[in-house]
Amino acid sequence: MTSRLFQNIVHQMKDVIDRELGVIDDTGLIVACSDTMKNGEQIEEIPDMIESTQDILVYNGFTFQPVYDETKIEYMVFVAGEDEIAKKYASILAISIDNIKQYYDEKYDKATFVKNVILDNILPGDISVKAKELHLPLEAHRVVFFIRTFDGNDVYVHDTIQNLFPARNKDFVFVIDKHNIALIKEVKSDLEHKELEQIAKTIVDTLATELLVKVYVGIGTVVNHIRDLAKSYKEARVALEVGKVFETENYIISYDNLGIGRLIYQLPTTLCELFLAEVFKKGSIDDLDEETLQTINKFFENNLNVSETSRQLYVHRNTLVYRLDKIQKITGLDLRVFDHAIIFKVAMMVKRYLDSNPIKI
Amino acid sequence: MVGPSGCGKSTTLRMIAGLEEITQGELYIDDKLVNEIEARDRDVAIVFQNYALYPEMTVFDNMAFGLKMQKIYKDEIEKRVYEAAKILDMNDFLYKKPNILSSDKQQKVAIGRAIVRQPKIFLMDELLSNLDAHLRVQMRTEIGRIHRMLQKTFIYGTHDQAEAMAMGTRVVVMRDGIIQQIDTPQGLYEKPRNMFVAGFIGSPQMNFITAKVKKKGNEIYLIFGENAIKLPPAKAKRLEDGYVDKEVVLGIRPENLHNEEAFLALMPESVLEAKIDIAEMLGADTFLYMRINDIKKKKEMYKHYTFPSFFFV
Repeated sequence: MTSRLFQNIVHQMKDVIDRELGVIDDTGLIVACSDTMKNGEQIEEIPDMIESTQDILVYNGFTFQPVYDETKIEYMVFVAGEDEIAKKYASILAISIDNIKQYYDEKYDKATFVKNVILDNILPGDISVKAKELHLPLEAHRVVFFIRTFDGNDVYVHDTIQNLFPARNKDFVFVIDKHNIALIKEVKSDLEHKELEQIAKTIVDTLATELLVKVYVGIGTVVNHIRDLAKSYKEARVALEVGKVFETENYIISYDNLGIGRLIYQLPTTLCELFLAEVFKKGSIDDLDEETLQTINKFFENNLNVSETSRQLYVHRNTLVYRLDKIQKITGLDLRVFDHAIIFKVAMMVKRYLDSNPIKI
Repeated sequence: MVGPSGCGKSTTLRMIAGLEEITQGELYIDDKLVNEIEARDRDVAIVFQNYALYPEMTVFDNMAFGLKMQKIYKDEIEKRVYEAAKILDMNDFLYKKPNILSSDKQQKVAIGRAIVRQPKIFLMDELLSNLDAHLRVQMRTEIGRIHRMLQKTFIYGTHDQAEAMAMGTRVVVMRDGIIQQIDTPQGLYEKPRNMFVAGFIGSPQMNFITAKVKKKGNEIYLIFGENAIKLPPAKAKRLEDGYVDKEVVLGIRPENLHNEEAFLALMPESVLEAKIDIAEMLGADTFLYMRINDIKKKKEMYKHYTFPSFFFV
């Protein structure tokens, strides 16, 4: 990565000064050169030269200038020529290389640090210290988006998201595993929830447009301290897991909107099985056929309104009443009664949850 | 594809693109069954209203990004981007960053990203919804022009019937996941197949009045409240068999109501008296909201004459 950055600078400088120039690492390997054919070549004498020098040196028609990593020489830059101008050029190149190196190191460190924070790989006490070292503000409004690709991680999904959110010190994008990517985004303090969903929609739509891939996005809650990022990350993951069970038609699932689903997700499966057995004493939920289940769902969608449900199902009102009576006979629950309806609704969700065999986070 | 929000336009577009699984039925592109074909192998491009451009890339790079990921040669990428820029009339903006572009130009960049792919089909989902009203009108003309230049299939989803009527050559009207009618814009307007299409297409909306069909001698009348109107023979003929003494819904487009002397003299038994509630002056047209025995009706003043068109369910 750094060699690519160095090469870029070397090319730009070559256009200006029109002399051969490049960068060598401490083993004598040419990592970047204006004559790209020389990249990868080894200069045997360099390690010895590094041992014996602290400053500019001239050797074999080239001027060399060291680039330090704190006190140790990490790279040498070189410019063709042994004159004063060559020395000036070497100094300028050394300054540029040093700056780009520092910038890259810092950025790389920041990204690694944030990744460690969200994955709980860093001691809580170290978070504030390290964040200060890296000049990352401790308090800022940040949120985690957890992005899951539908059929394996396209190699370009990461690049696309990174380009959508290029703010270097505010937004971070990590590949978590083959299917998952996390985006940590700094947001405005007064951001409304629908704006978070808008960001997620942008991700979904852009990936569909650019790569024709389908993704799901889980959104955690906005946190205002860097140490809480791990919480937002877990919430975003839970949102996806719970959403996969209860909101199968949605691509974007917010932890804030999980409702009863979140409650059920946190229950032990044995308790769920017990609940189902108690609710359906008279018979199983499995005794209900597809048409009956569709009727029930429509009835719930229409807030237990018989007239509206029958209209939407294109059936006579009496047909719907007959079906509801049949459900009462099978399950012992009269869905027209609010208390019974809510028990049935929760039971259907619990059943769905058990059938989906969810992963607990 | 046009229909109210939630009618299934986006899902259908996503199914065509291969982003949504088709649970039932078959999808053909050029006589080729594509149900099992991966999205990226279907040769389609999709553009959404949420066009997100890469903020740190130039317009050129924004358009080229997808092609670079497909590992297409640099020369070919350049050629395609310049061609797309020419079609979109965006040559002057190729090396600008998106943040300095107006929203319609940004939308053009999003369309450009689809054009450079050179797909067989362009899918567009509520593409103009985020634009201001005047830019929307401007852009729909632009999209029409681009469509004619590219000579490719565009499938455009919108909830705005005016957009569908203005841009579509063949319009699919949808409601609750079901296709209501497929027709040309003119066909939809003049011969809607059901009350939903009749009410959805056209602005101002068609008036609906529930009326009873009565036969007096050889004439057919529609009775509503204290009013009766005689139907012209062609319309009457369609109701004579099976509808007499039954309730029907009378649909009248506002522009088909007339108050010209000549017209009233021509059809004296189709004249109603109405009280004007509100008049909305819109420039070229004026909308009059009127009451006939407490039934609200809308009338649009037009300069041309047409005979009343009726629609029955």
